[in-house]
Amino acid sequence: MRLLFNKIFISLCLLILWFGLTMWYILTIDKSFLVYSIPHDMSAVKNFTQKPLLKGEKVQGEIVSAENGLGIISIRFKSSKRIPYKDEDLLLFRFKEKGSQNWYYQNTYRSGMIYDIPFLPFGFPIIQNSKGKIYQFELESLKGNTKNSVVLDNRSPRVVSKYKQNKAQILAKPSALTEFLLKKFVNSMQIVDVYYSSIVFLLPFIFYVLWGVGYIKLSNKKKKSFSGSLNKLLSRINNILSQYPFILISIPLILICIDVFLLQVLNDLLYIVMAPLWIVICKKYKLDCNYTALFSILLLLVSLPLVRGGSIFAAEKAASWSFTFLVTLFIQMILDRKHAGKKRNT
Amino acid sequence: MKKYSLLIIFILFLIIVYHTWIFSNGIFTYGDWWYFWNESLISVRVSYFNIWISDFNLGRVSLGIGQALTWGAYGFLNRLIGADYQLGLKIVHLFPIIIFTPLGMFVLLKKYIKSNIAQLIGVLAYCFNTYFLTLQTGHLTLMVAYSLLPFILYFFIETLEKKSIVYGVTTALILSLASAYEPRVAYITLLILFMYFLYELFNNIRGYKKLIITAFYAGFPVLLFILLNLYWIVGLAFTGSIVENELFSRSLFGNEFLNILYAITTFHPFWTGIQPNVFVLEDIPMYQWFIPMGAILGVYLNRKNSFAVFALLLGLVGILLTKQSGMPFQDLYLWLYTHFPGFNAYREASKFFSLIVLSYAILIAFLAEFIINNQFKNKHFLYLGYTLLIVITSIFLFNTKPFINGSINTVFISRHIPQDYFLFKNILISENHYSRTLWVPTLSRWGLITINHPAISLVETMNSDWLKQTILFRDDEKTAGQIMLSFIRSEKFGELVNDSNIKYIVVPIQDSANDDNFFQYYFKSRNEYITTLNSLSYLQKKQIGQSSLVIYENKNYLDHIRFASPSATPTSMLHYNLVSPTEYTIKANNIKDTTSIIFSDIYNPNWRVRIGKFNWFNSIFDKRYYLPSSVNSPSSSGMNSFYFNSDEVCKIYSCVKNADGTYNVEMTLYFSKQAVVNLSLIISGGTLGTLIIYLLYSFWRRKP
Repeated sequence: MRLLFNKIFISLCLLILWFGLTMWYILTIDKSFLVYSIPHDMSAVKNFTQKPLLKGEKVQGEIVSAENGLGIISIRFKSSKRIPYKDEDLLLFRFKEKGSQNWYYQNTYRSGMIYDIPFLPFGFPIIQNSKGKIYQFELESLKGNTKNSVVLDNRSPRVVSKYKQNKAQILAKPSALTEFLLKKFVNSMQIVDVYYSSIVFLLPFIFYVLWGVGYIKLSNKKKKSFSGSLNKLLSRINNILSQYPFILISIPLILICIDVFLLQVLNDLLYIVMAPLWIVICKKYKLDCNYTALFSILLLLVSLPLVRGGSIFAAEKAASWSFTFLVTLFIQMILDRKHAGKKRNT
Repeated sequence: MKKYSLLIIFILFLIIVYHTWIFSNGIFTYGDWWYFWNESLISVRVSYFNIWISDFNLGRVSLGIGQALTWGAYGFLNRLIGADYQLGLKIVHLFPIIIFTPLGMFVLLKKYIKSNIAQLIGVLAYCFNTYFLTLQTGHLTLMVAYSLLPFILYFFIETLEKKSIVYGVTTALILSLASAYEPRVAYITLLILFMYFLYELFNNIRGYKKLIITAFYAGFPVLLFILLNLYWIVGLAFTGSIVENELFSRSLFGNEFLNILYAITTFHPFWTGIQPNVFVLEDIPMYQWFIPMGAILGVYLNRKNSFAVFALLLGLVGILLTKQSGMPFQDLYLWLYTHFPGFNAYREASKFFSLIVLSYAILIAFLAEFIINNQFKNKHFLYLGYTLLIVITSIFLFNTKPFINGSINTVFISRHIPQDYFLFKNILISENHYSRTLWVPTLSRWGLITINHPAISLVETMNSDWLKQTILFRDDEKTAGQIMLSFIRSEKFGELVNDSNIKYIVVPIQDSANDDNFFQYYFKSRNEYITTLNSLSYLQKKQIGQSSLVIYENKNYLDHIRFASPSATPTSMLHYNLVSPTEYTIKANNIKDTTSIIFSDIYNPNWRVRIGKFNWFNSIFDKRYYLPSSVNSPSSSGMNSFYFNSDEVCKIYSCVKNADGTYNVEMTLYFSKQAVVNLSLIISGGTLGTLIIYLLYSFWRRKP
């Protein structure tokens, strides 16, 4: 009974960890607790192009404001190699309500920011009564050339609008706060970076549950009931996972490959979660550090063709994961040495 | 003979690689690596133990005081054996690089690796990686300090293992020597030693008693190091420069040049295979990936070896820091730069390459030993291992190609001093009277700098000492050259030139062949500066030699220490004598009422006036030793202006009263913090002497 209690308690902790890390990442993306993001469909950018944006070229877009308090439009760019500050392109961002003669806001931004923030936010004075209105934006390259030009990313969502909510209104009623949090969470989860990160954060919980199902022993009475059938199912899953451990082992590796080749999510928490998880996986399946060293080398090797192919950002991602495996390797070696030392002593 | 064949081959290889440094007597100077005339070596370099130095622009708190020992060595060698710049450079910087870099690594590797070939491969990895080779093209202080790094680590490990005071003392002495070359490397080395200490604690130390003993043996070399370096730590701390100075206040730089790919492959972003292309990002060659692969295999195959695992830790920390603001943990470096004490000395992260270099060199040596000892059970793996080893070794050997064929240029080719600079130098040293020389737009590498004839770079002074006075000329839309020209045309220029004791204004020769053409950086041609200066009536053109060096003489320049007109009486006279850059004796005769004396180094409140006899030691403890600090305030030109009433001052201090009611006053102008530096120097010097005597005594006792 106590074991079961412990299992439930740890599971709950891991769930809280998942929620906490996901919310933390959402806050990091939104930059403020009071801001929440709404992704827009692919048609938000009208003359979308995957070609580099050269001097004088423009992209235009249109969004329908979902809420009041519109203050930021984020546009997703493809990350590329950093170039010297003096050579960076200047991007002119303009924004207005549809039908208006004049631009409501315009400003220039340096393209170098895209390396650190590929989903680049363009801020403007908050529009309090923006809900339901249509807004147009325009992005023009002022100094774009073959070396410094930026490229829009085809990944969904291409555009996200951000809304700042009134603190007093949110805190006035518990229901308003709950509604705001729910909206913030649900809307953010539509952004691929967030739900990918959230899946990674959920992995410790999933693994723990899947590994732990074998421990759940129900009484004979309950075995005949629905929960008894559930128990059977869980035991079966447990058996399958024991027989084919590569199913679970491959999950983090598949997620890493998705990150390297497709998403390139800028979220350091991914490494922090994945490294201990991998150590636990290795311990669980008695994998020695061979595999960790192997994956570190493989990811390092993957970065080579990516660099040659011009996908610098993906190459950096591969190298980052290789580095994470190296850190894991170091920890495993230290733990092995400790373990061996203890064995010798006993 | 066979036993030493590998060593002989390696030494021959070193001679081939560094043949220019070893056999040529030419002048090696490039980029920031400056040439110094013999007069500069004696005058400026020896003065580095002073916390204030007035060699360049309008004087400065000497942030290089920590390197006083090595810079001073040039001056001392010149005095002792008449060594000129070329010979001094070889003794102080070049030969230590050639000798200590491989030797240090060899000593360290020999402790853990038995195979001579494996040791050699590790040594090659340490000596001929792209980072260290790039440093050798101009950042020689860093490189010598890095050459001592393996020695320090070796002696520190021996200290902890053998619980030996002698090894601890040796660690402290070599660490201090490294610091005398480059304090920033000493900081990185301390970080490495601290990591080793923690690693050792985690791995091998059980129980409080062992912990305390290990902590003592780890801590006392550091304590000795602090005592040995007290003079500059105290000096900079007391002048407020250790936390905030022009070097530490710079913003983070070069994010675009470093990322995890450069870090993990240990490839210097400016390495081209010939002369490095500074600030141009080079692509990483494919073969460079073999190096981290070899290192990872090295640690994996030797995972039971504690030191190999520690080397991996070094590499990981190195990669994490060297990638600077690249992923992963993009904000980490900026956070450390802003918050971690001492980290703001590293405005760009390339110096942390050294951790990766050390780590990889050790791990590759471990890999080599594993392969050479034939520990692979599978023959195919063995062949693959040998192939990898040959490829990795070839990479390091291949890196030396530009050094052998001379295409590296930089400090590996001899430069020639144009004749006019010789002539101008001779003019300056023949003049005993203090004056400064203004170089427009900036100082040539052949310009003379002495304490009596400091040099001023126009572009640098406008951005520092004359910043307030020239603020009106600044315009974001204009180039640096345009701003300088409009300033030269103004009346303010003449005023500042006189106030700053500038006797000569020089437009250097545009000399690309000797890496002495900087006009392009300011977007104005040399002729435009000459034309503008020609139009100034108060300047007189001076003809020397072939007239390729354009020199103007300013007859109206004022004295270094002078009465501020009209504070003195018509009969007032002032004589001064430069004792050191931090001390001037002044005799002011026939002064009356309020007197104002201008001392034309840039204003610093630590310049104080003592009336009467002066003893620096007494000044430390006597708070009323000097005239109140309020007597010194900045003049309109930003210099030190001492304003006091002679009647009141002479009531307290000893002055000679003349028959006409005026006073003759003897005073000392002193940079007050130098007194603390002097005291710390005695402590540091005493510690050094004691440690050397202790080492000699220990060595003598060990002899049978």
